[in-house]
Parts: sequence; structure tokens; C-alpha cells
Amino acid sequence: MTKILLVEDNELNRDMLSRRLIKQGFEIAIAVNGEESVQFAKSLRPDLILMDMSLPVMDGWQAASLIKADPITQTIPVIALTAHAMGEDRQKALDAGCDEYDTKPIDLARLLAKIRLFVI
Amino acid sequence: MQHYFYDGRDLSQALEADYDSGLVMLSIAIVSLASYAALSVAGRIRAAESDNKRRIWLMAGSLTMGGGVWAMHFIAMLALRLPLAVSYDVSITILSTAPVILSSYVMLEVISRPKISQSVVLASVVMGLGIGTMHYIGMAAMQGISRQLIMLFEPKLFMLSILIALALSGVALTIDFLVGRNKKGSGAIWAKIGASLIMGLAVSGMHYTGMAATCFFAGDASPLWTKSSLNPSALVFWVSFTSVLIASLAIFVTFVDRRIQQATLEEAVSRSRMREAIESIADGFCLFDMEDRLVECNQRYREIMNFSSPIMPGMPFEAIMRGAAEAGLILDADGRLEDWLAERMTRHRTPRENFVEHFVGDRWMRVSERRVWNTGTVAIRTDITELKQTEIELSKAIAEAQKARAVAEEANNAKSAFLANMSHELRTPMNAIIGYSEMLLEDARESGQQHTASDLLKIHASAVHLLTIINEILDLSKIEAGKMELCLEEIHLPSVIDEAVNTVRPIVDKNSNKLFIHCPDSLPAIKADAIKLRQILLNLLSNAGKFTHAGEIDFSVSVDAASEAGWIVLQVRDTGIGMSRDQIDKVFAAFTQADNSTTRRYGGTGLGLTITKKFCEMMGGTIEIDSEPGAGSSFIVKLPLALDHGVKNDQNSAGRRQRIEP
Repeated sequence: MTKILLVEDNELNRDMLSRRLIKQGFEIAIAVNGEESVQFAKSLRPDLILMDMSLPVMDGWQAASLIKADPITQTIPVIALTAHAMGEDRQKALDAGCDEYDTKPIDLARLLAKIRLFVI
Repeated sequence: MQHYFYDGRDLSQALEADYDSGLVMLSIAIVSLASYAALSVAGRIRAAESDNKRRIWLMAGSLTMGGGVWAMHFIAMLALRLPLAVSYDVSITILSTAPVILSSYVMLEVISRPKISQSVVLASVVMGLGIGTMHYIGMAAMQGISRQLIMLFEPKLFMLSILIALALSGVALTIDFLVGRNKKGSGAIWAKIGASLIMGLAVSGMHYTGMAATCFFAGDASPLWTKSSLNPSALVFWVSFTSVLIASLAIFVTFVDRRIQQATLEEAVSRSRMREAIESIADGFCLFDMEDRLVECNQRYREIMNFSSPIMPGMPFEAIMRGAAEAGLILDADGRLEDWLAERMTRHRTPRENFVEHFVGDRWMRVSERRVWNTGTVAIRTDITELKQTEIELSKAIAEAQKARAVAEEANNAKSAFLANMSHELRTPMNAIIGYSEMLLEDARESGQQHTASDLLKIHASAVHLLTIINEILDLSKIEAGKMELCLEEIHLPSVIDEAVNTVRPIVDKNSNKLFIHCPDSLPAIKADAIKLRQILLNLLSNAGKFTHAGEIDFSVSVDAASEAGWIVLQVRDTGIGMSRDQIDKVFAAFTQADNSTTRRYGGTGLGLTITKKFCEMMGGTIEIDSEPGAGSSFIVKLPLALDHGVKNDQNSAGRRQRIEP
């Protein structure tokens, strides 16, 4: 089963998105901040990471660049989730090494299409 | 020697008198020359600046004139040939000069007065009488050598001789007075020459008339044999020589004096002109010589440098500056007099550029010093207090404006931060609402609860709508705060169009509209902000969908290669309700829809087109509307193919984006 690490600090969004993805047949692991995401990426070795960018402790851009800098985790695709159409946020995410991005609010069909670019 | 007016003597006994004509001419020439000299001197007397000078000129003039008249008389007497040897009494001869010198003095004194016409009469009377007196006294000095010489005078001719002297002097002086003084240059000289000749005629006319009135008789053997016997031809020479010399000298000196006076006058005029010019300079002006001593300065300079001792020419520059500084006039020197003075002297000696001196009373002087080759230093002090005050006020105002701007910027930053926060805070719950309603909607559909599903759809649609409104308001406030950034990248137009069309299709379908898309197979690459372009398309297409019922919506994409840069043209045309001219004018203004009722009927914030237009402009493009009420609207967006805006390198993003493009 495809394993996705969902990094999201907001409980409601986390709950909603994880439930919807589980329903789609993915196995979901949760990290609530950037630091955790770096740890879990290493320990759990997910197939894909969905990363919210505005996170406590360590923000998404920093976390993404750490993940992409580590040889163990750098091959894991990272999809950045940014707030509504913030050009600069999106650019920052790509600069930090994210492979793709999607904007909130989540359009599940669109997000799934982007996930399917990297995993089955 | 005896002489009578007429004693009834037999006139046939009279001695025959005869004249040497050469000497007669000489006598007339000498007296004319003397007259010319005297009239010239009169001009000098008039122009004399001091009483002393005037007196000297008067004396010289009367001696010249008197001497000339006397010389004329004496030479004329020597020209007289009598058949009786004659001699002259020396003392009487010398005495005879007195009346004519005196009368010349009086005449010169009178005619040298400015503008008294009656004085001409007085002068000619005195002069005529003087000449006559001199003549007859001179005659009295004549004596026979071997026999007594007896002279008898014919009264009428005697009177005539005096009258001639009076009248001709009068004519001569009148000419000099009327013509000579009113004319300049050669006219004045000719008048003077004429007057001198007539004056010469007055003297010689008097003399020869007087001689004609005289009859000489030989008397008894003379007991009075005088010792003073002079050689007549030597006398002629010396007398003529001396008088010509005197007259010439007088003319020469007069000439020189006039020239000197003229030159002095010219210099004075040019000096006073210079002074006036210097005084008329509104700034303080001063000139120092090579030794740094004051040559010239104007009143303004004295006012500026107004310290205890008066500023006089010859004062050294250093003394003036020290004086002014010690008097506390120059604030720059406060408490550091010697240092300042040393600096100031250096600056003065090697002037380079203008500088400013701060004077007491908070006055500011701009000093401009220039070395003038071989002359010294010219300095100009201009009061620039007003300028300086304006400058100070200006810099204060600038500082205040900067402070105000800093405050405003701070406030603006705070606003931006607040907006960023707000957008996050507002969107997070919206995301939850949209996400959960979507989830529940799926569940309800799967379990066949159609009723619940339709309600959940309403919640979902409302949430999406609300989020759109929130986003638009936040976008607009960002645009207005100048915080909206442009993120240019090379974009693949067909995929952006597809995405936008897919998003608006539900709105288009809801009003039973048909959407046609005309897009050429190959489109050039375009550099733009993908998100903003997407939003432009979404706004235009969703508007078309909203305001059209059971109609057609045409979306066409084309390339306008007419201009060098090349434009991409995006046109959305509908068959909807359309707009009037007035509505078109207002459609891009914030918070305005075609009319207020539109908002109620069609929803929306009225910000969509405002944002669309701003986005077009940000990307260097334009938007135009063609619309008619009831006939539909057409929105035409033109964007440059390559916007050479200094933007970030988007190579990476472009490369990554390739992957998701079909």
C-alpha cells in the first residue's frame, strides 16, 4: 500500500485530509510540524510527503530543504500545500526542493492527479 | 615837450609823419595774438576750480593782454617816422602799462563770470578806456632829442579813437560771449580767433586813429635831453619777441591746462560712473590689491562688515576680517578666532569655490572671491539668508516627511502582516468547511441519501463562494498596498486554459450556456504570472457564465504579431445581458457592478473585474470591453508574449512544471 506522510498542523484539516486519502486507499502517517516531518521521513520512509508550508517549530520550506538534502530521504517526492495562490510561497516551495505544489483549499481530484504523477 | 588839444598853430608847419608799414602789421599781429591768449585765459578762469587758481589765471591773463596792448603801442610808435629824432621817457613808458594791465584785469574778471550779459558793456568800457589811457600816457613819454616836440590833438578824432576802442572791444567781447561760449570744438576756436582779431583792431584802430588826431611840431632847441636813448630796431625786436613769447606761453599753458582739466574731468566722470556701478551692486563688493589692501568697496560691503573702525581704502584684508571677527560679526570664528583667521587667509589667497559665512543675527553670506591677474582679488558677498532659511526649513520638512513616511510604512507593514494573518486565519476554517462538506457529500452520494447530498452541496457551494470573496478582498487590498508581487515564468498556455475552463464549466452549464473554445494548435511560449493569468480567465469566463442564460460563450485565443514584441489576445464573448456605456465606464471600479441590483441577482463582490484589470496591467497588458445592453459583452485581454520585467529566474519551476503537463 502506498504510504503518504501528511504534514499538517491544523487538526481539522489533518483529520479531513487523512480520512479522505485513506478512503482513496492510501496509508497515512501524520507529522504535526516540520521537525517531526524530517524525523518521520527518515524513520518511516514514506512513498510521498504532503507538506503544509506554514508549520510551527520548523516551517515547511526548511523541512523540505532538509529532507531534500539528506541522501536517505532526498528521493521521496514532496508535494507542497500552499495557501491560496501565493506566488511567492509557491516559488519558495519549489526553491526549497519540493517536486510539486497544490493550493488550499484542497480540490481532492486535482490533488489526487498530482499525487498520481509520483506514485501509483 | 608840450602838447595841447589845439592852440591855433599854423597846421602847415606840422611835421610830416610817416609809418613803417611792416612794423604796423607786426603791431596788429602782436596785439591780436595777445588778445587770443587773453580770451583763452578767460576760459581757464571760468573753469578754475579754486579762487587761488582763478586769481593766478587773472593775473597771468591781464599781464598778457596788457603786455600785448603795450607792445602794440610801442611797436607802432617805433613804426612812426618823424623828421625829428625822438626818444621815450622810460619811467613814463613803464607807467603807461599800468592802466591797460588794470583794465585787462577788470575785463577778464568781468567776462569770466558765468552768464552776465550786461558785464560785456562794462568790460568793453573799461577795456576801451584802459587802451586809450595807456595810449595817451605812452604818447606823453615821447620827447624830441635835439628840439622840443610839440603835439596837438584834433578833438573829434581824439574822441573817435576812444570810441573805436570802446566799440570794437564791445564787438569782440560780444562775439566771444555769444558764440565762443556756446559752441564747442572748431566753432569756438574760430569765434575766439575772430574776437581776437577784432580786439586787435580795437587796440590798433584806437592807436592809429589817435595818431591821426595828433599833429607834431618841432619846437625850440630842447633843453631836456634824456639819457635814456635806446636803439629803436633792437627795441622792436625785444618788445615783439617778449610779447609774442608771453602770449604764446599763455596760449600754450592754457591749452595744456585745458587738456589736463579735461582729462581730470573725464577721469572723474569715469570714476564716478564706476562708483555708481559698484554702489548699484546689491551685494557687498570689495577689491583688494596685490598686497591685499582694500582698493574699493561699496556701501553694502561697509554695512556687512560694520565693526568699530570705519573701513577705509588701504586697509589690509586681514585687518578687516579680524576686525569683523573680533566684533563678533562672523559666527564661524566664534571661539576659534586665530584658527579661523588662518583658514580664511589661506582661502583668500587661493580662492577656489564659493563658500558661506555665517554672520551674526543668523545671516548667511555667500562669498565669492576671485583672483584677478595683476590686479588683486575681487570679492562679492551675497546675502543668502532667505535661501538658507528655506533650505533649513526644507530639510526639516524632508526629515518630517521621512518620519511620517516611516510611520506610514510601519503602519502599512502592520496592515500587510495583519492581512497575511487574516488570510491564513480565514482560510483555514474555510478549508475545513469545504473539505468536510465535500467528504460528507461523497458519503451521502455513496449511501444514496440524495436529499442530504443536495443540502451538503449547497453548504459546499456557499463555502467556495465565500472563500472566493475573501480571496478577492484580500487580493485587492494587496494590490492597493502595492504588495501584490508578480511571479513571471514561461507558461504553457493550453494547460492554463484547460484548467480555467474545467473550473468554470459548472457555472457555464448551470445557466444552460454553450461554451466554444477556439485555440490554435500551436501557441508561442508566453512569459506571465500563471496564477494571475488563471484568475483573469476564471473571472472573465465565470462572469460570462453568470450573466448569460441559455446563450453562447466564445473563448478564443490568438496571437497578434502586428507589433514587434507580439501579443497574445484572449477574447471572451457572450450573448448575455450586456452593458450600457455608463455601466462599461464603471465596470472596472472597485466594488461596482453594472448596478447595485446586479449584486443581489448575480452575487459576487464586484471586485473580480477590478482585480482582472490590475492583473492585466501588472503583466504589461490591457483589457477592453465591447458591449451592448441585451446583445452581450466581449472582453479582450492583450498580454505581451515576453514581458521583459526584471524577474526571478524561473528555470527550475519551468522545468518542474513540465512534468505535470500532459
